[in-house]
Amino acid sequence: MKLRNIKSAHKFFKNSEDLKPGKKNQSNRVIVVGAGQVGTHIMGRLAAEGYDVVLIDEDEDMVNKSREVADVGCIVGNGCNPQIYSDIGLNSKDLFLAVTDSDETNLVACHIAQAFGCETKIARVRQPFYKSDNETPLNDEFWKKMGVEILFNQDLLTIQEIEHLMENPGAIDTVFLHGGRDRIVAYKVKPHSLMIGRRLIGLRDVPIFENLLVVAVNTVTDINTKTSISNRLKEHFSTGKKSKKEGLKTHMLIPRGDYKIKEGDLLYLAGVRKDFLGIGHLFDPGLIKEFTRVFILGGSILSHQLSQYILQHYPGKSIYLIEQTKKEAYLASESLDPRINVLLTSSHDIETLIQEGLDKYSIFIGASNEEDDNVLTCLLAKEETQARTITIVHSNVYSHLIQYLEIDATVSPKSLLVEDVLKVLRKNVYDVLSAKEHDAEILEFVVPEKSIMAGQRLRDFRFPENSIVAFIYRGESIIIPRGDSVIHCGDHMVIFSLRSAIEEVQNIFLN
Amino acid sequence: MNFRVLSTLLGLLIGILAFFLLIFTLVAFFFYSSEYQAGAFFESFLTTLVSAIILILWGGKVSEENVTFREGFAVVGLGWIVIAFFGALPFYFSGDIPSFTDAYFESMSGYTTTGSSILSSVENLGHTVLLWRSFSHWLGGMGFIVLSLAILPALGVGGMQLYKAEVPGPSPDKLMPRVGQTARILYMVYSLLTILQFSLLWAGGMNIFESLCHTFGTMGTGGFSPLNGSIGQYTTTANSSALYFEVVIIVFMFIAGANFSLHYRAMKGDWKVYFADSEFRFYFILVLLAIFTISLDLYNSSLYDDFGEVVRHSSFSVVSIITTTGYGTENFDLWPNYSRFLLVFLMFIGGMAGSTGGGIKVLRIMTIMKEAIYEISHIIHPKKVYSIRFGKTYIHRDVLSSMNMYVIVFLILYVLGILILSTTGYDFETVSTMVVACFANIGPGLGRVGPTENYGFLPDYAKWVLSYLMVLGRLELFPLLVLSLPGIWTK
Repeated sequence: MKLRNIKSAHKFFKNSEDLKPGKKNQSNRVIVVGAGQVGTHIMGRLAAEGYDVVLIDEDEDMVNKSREVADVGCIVGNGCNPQIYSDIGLNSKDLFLAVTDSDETNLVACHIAQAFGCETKIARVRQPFYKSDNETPLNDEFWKKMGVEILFNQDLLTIQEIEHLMENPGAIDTVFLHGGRDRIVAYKVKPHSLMIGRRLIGLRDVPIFENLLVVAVNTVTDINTKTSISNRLKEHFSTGKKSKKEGLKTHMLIPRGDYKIKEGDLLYLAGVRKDFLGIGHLFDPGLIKEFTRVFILGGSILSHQLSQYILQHYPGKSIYLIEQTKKEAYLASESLDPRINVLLTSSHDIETLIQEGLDKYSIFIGASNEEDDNVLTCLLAKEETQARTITIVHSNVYSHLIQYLEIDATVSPKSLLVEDVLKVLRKNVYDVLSAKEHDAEILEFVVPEKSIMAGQRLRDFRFPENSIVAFIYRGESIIIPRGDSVIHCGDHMVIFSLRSAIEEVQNIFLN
Repeated sequence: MNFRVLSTLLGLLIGILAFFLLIFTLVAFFFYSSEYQAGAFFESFLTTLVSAIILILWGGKVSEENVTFREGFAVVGLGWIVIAFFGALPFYFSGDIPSFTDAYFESMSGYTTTGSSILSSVENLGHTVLLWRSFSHWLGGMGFIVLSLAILPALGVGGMQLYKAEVPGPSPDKLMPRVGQTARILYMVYSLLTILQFSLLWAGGMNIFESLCHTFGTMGTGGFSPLNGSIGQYTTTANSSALYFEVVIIVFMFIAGANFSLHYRAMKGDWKVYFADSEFRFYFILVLLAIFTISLDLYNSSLYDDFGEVVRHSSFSVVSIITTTGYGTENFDLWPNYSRFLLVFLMFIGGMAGSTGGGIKVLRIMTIMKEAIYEISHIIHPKKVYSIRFGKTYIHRDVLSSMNMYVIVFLILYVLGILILSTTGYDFETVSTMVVACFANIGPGLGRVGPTENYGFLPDYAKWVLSYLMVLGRLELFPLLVLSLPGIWTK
């Protein structure tokens, strides 16, 4: 279950016209280059939403696999081969997505698409130097000349996400709106939390919750809390992936006032930045608000970027980068800021890390390219020192498993990318919650002129079941809605909706 | 080793020297004909030219394939020894320095920019000889090989090896894609600064001859002066511009002791480059600190009454010693011990990498200090990986170990040098400072080789040993030491 920030998508909200639902791109055709995880995921979603998707990849097996799961056109071939585009008649109305694992392939593919006159071209990149910086000559204009309309830097997105998690101690997941001023943050209710047993009704009378709204709860039902991690893992591996999680079921709901908070619940709170200060420890009494050291498991471009970023944004914190090979270690110590401490040691050598100061006041980030290493080292660090752990996962293999492990937060760069791309394509969508069983989305709508909603109180105007208004923007002001908030014409509403209710919500605003 | 290629390359080097000798013959003939030295220069010119022609005729064709590391190092190492030989001819032929050992010592001291002299009274020498003596500083400062690279494109083939072997510093900058272009730029910057200093001295009232000699001595960080009392003579003869001359010379000594690629970038308009460079900052602070503490020491000693006087003398001596120039205004051997010792320590440090100065070089000192700190903190952080960084640039591990080895070998050779020269029977202070003064290309030491003394009293063998130490120091040990490996001479 992941929420996303919307920084990169935000610049496409050029005017309120774009926020009207149902407004699709001129063309229905999308060219997706690259049938890796990102490509197939995006392709699947777009196909489900009625786009005609053409998938291009060199690997025939991958293409065939995609052909089986979704109704898409498939071409086996190099994404940089102009012949392919000439054959399919690429034109200005097509949407072009280059999302292979290779930065250079993506850039060249976009460049070729530009030569065909294609207008909207999106490229996925990873190298830190492929970024648009408006302070330098390498601004948006430059990338447009290069043939890329939107550059999605996967590593930068990941760093942003980690930054948000660090900024909100105790948070499991975050969605940042409007550059971080408004946000939706998810907290897990830990054992002995003050929140256990409280009902949502009356929660907002408590001063600290005055401007916070619980928009959704992801609750665990029938959980056998006595089961240890190892038993769960054993259970998982012995029973196989398909018949998993007997007795462990999570589901997301939009809570009513009488909802009683349980241990293990994941609460999504909407609010303004300042109101989240000090919220974390209400959910986790053992939460450490301040950290002194950051340990990053290295060996990737991402880890280098991340350590530089944290150094700049958290001055005075000690940063340790753990490298496992001599070559990587020297590369890091030669190229990164000298204030970053590079340790050459095995990821499982937790003793050394403890000697260097890994303790419960530390944050441990598993940011290597090996997700097994990330997950295991995080578990080890948690077990030995109670440090706060954030792990980066690259595939979906573990995603359903990780939520049962003692890892504080997980970040999946590929999902971040998929969701960001979808956000841009769907314009009024702020965010996509993409758990397997129950997808939810955060959407923004404008209350149309002469709408029947206008003038009514939220309590009286019954929004569809499984959806909730999270924010109301009126001119410059933000309203965290209550039952007696009145709807005006021209209000921008951010709506948190489960997938089942999305269509209903859209219909309200269309009429 | 391809001896025929070596012969051709050496022939070319000597040919360049012959060209300069021809110019000096003309100078002697037209400007100082009353001193009758044109003949001596013409003889030297002919000898050199004939040797060059023989070497080139015997030698083989130079091409990209046959100039390897071996030939490169052999040309640099032998080249310096041979050039000092031919450079000594005018001293010998003119009869100004009757002993050939002395002439060779003087010549080597010139080319290696050491500035140690065996002459007790330089003013007895002819003007052309004195000018030739100072001009050797200028040629040796930026390097004879670099000059050949700049003017002989033929040498460009194995050029990077030659260039690396001669330019001071662990890993010399290559300012341009081609070695020849880099060499030309270095000489251009060098010449511009030389012209500037000459004009400033001349405009201040120094005569053309002395201006030229002092400028050559300053820019090459050499230290030969055509006056018996060095720069201090202007004060003793109550020249009204003495202070002005000293200031100009201090400034240009400091410039010559800094990295010339910084000067090049500054000339292109990027003035910030100086203080952005950590080696320059260190060099600058080191100089200021040394001046400050020596000033305090001198002021306490009541040698001078006026604090202004103290600062003037201490800054001249500090800059003169750290840049390895060796000009003198005051006899610092009479100063209190702290000042004398500090000046000796500064001799070891020397100028910046890429300057015309000698010594261990500021960059190596900084690197070793950083390494020492890291080595100590390794005790508490055993798994931590360090790299030696200077701003955004780092020193690669391979370069690092050769830098460490450089300093170790430098100190070993220093000790060996003292041991060998102790057989002359002079006191420890004289012998130890004499060795460092020659090895680090400074000039004056303490005791019997102090600023007002000379090296003339030493036995001949000591002069040969010191000459060898000078060229070892100038070429930064390895290009010359590698010649003693038998492996380099095999075909």
